[in-house]
Amino acid sequence: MAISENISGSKSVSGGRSGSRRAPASPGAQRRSLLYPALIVVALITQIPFLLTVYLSLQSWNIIRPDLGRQFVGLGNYAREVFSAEFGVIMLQTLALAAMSLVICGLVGLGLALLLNREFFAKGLVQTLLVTPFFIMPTVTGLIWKNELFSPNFGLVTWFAGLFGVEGFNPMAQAPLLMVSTMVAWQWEPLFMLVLLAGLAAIPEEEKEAAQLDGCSRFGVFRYVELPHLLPYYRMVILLGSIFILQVFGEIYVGTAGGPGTSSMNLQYLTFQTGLVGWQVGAAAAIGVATLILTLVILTGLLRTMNAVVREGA
Amino acid sequence: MSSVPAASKKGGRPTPWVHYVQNAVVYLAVVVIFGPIFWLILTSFKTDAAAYTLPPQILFTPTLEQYTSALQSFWAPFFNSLFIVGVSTLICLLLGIPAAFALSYFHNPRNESIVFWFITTKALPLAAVLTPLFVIFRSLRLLDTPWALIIVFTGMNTPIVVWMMYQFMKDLPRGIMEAAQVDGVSLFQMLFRIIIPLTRAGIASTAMLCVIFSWNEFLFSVSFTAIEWQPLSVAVAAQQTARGQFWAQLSAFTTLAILVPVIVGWLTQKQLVRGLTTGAVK
Repeated sequence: MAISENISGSKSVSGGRSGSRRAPASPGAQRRSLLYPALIVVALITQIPFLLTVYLSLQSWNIIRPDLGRQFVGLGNYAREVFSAEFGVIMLQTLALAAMSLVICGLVGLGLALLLNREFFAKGLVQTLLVTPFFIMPTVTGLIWKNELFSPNFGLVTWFAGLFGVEGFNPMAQAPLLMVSTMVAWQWEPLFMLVLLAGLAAIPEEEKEAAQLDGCSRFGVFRYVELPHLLPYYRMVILLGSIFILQVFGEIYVGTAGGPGTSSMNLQYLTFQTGLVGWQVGAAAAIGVATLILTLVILTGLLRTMNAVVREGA
Repeated sequence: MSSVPAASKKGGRPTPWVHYVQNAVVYLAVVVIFGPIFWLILTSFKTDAAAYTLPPQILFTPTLEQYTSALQSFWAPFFNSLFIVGVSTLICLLLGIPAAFALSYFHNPRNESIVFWFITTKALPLAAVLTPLFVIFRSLRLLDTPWALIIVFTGMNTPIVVWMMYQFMKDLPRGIMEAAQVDGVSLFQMLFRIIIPLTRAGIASTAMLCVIFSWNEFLFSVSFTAIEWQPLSVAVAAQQTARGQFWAQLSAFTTLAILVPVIVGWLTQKQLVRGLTTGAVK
């Protein structure tokens, strides 16, 4: 998706540049002179490195062992790193992490949006406080989970669990992937809440009243009026959320360091680990390419599914 | 969360007690969701001994001693973040606003797909460009300088500026621009005298979003900087290793680190949704 768009995009970049110098007055040239700086910069920074990734992925290169040299190994990196049991497991973990986070975000976000879509005391303050996690650094989220809430020694939740007689409560080690999902959900729930709230606010009051006059219960109003209206908002926020949630990193780095073992790693973390901890540039590039393909497949599939759902619901 | 069934009982005219139950659920959600941040700030005013006391202390004599020691290691990464985030956001706006203006002002059948192309660059996982960027920055000797991060943040946030500003500018009444055209206003004047003042609020919220995203970014930050140009997000992770034993002090450092994005976010949360949702929902 991104690649094919890029090819046509970059062609137009090279094709139109001389035109903007020749005739600065024509609207087309004006448009290009305003548009191209951004287009060229974004293409350079985001697309050129990717082509280099593909090139590097065909090499064996350990950056801190120059004595080993750089060798062309063809698809060797893919055979060894991508089609391996470890990669498969971490890929599934990436998907599970994203799915769990999205489900929590979707449900909690909807609940909060419904609760906020009415008048009550201190509504503005409540909304502001509920949105706050969105502005917190992922590394800080990891820190809060690891130390403040779930530290085996002094964590708040650990202490609370102790009151109920739970011994050896240490979910960061026992259920690390689930804990990372809750971190991610905590960070992204505000976005879901705000977008769905905007969706609820856009529903004309008459439609709800009409449904009530027809004898709809509160749940009926939700099911037949509010939910269909919300579907396009859900589509938008799930897509946007997936883009970011598929590449969670800071929460894992601080919260669990991918462990115990590799049990809370995702593909982003694996790439970092291979490239910038293990210094295997070629292997990391191959994992990066595989991650990109997987991401595009997931996003395309998600978009198709949701378009179908929205069409059916509307 | 039990809010959906609670809300479903509402019916036409909510009975008072349903209203109160819903309020209680909402206030409970605030405690659960904002609680961890509140507790972090509270801990930063405790002594180290008090921070570890169980059961957790809510009433205690506040002290500023943690801040005095946290501030010593705070200023260097803080100014690093300020510089990197400030410069990259400025460049994003300088590139993105004219581009969004061009896409919304001039008619061209390809405008929509160009806006879409900008968005698709966001779908590119950072993992796919991490290694080559590292190799490039290494050979250009840009590692552990602010420029590596300024370059990548520009690439990451310019698409957001283009997308959001395109939505804001498309919503402007065309009549204003046509009237200005009739008056013979130049393109430059059109952008600076008419479009930018009219979309001020949108520009502010877009800039704030860039600030939040780049201030909090971690993968590239930890990969491309070391000691010298460490931004705050990396400093927090480093402090957690170095001072994990001093939870109160770490809380003070962390509270300082989240201050800028949180305040910025609080100021712009209303505009944020509008910029993100308009146009995306059809």
